[in-house]
Amino acid sequence: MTADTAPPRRVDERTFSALYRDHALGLTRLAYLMLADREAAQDVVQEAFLGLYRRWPSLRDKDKALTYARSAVLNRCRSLLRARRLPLRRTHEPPAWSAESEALLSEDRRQVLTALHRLPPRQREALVLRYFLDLTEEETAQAMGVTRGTAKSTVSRALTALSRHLEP
Amino acid sequence: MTPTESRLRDALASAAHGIDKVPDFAMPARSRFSRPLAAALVAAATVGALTYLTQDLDPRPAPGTQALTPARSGYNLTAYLCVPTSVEPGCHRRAATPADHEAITATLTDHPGVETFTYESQEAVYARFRALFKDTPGLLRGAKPGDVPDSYRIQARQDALPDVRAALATLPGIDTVVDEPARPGAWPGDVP
Repeated sequence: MTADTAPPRRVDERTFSALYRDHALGLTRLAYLMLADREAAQDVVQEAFLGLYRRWPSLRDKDKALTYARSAVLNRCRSLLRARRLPLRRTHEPPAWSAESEALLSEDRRQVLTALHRLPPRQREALVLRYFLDLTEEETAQAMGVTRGTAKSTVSRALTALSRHLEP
Repeated sequence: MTPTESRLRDALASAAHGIDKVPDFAMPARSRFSRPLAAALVAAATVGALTYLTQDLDPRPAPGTQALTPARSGYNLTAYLCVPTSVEPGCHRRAATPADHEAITATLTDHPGVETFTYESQEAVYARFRALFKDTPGLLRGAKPGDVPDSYRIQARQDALPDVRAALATLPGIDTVVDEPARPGAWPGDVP
């Protein structure tokens, strides 16, 4: 059956399921890189898709659904990161990879990730979108909810800060 | 690509493998009611909705059966309202109140940058939700009336968009305001 002859609701249902199938893993990895917390990353993505699913009948442009999902994931990550900055926070919370991924991560990679986690969340976000998801400047801006110019300058400032942290 | 960029790309790709699979899409647990009661409610809702939907499922509704399709006009912003399942902290896990609605409509009416706006009720959007996921019981069961948010569809002057968005952002009862791409005539539920 082609898309032309399929009743509209079937097309819709497939699109939602397909979106989850194709992008849940990538978005969970995105959240994991932001949060360094596997369980929190999975929760964030489930919540984002649940929200998307409830808004599914309201979406005019299903092509934008992935953009919505990405923004929702990043919004939730930001809230969680803000909550972690509250006074109760431990002085230094080691990212997941410093503890458990000895075999997977070389010393060099661990250094980069630790430096990445010393950046402000918005800068980290910009770098993960650009260099992990390989988004264009325009897509990065949309996911972050900022203008293209702001996205570009955030990436550039983040790279400078990252290099500085990585200097011996 | 600078050395820092290459190192970053490599480290991100490698760390990402810390996640190698995701669970299936999970519906929220329904803990508010006991299971048999919840099942009975779903069954009752299904019977009611099926009767209702048989008239309205056609994507090109005949005159007089417009319930699933609000009056068409352009819009470039959607303001989703809070429902009890909203995770936005500002929603406090409760639905927008009548007072919230009044404040929102007053803001939209008074704002010089707003050209038109329409409200789509929870009933209307839930009916479309059921139509869309009709053939997928798993997805259909995941939301009950009141879970699917109602919204305001707003047509604002292009140069006033940021201002309108900012005016709405401070109002209680609004979950999120989303920019809509310029697609004249397209309406949710339409198939491209």
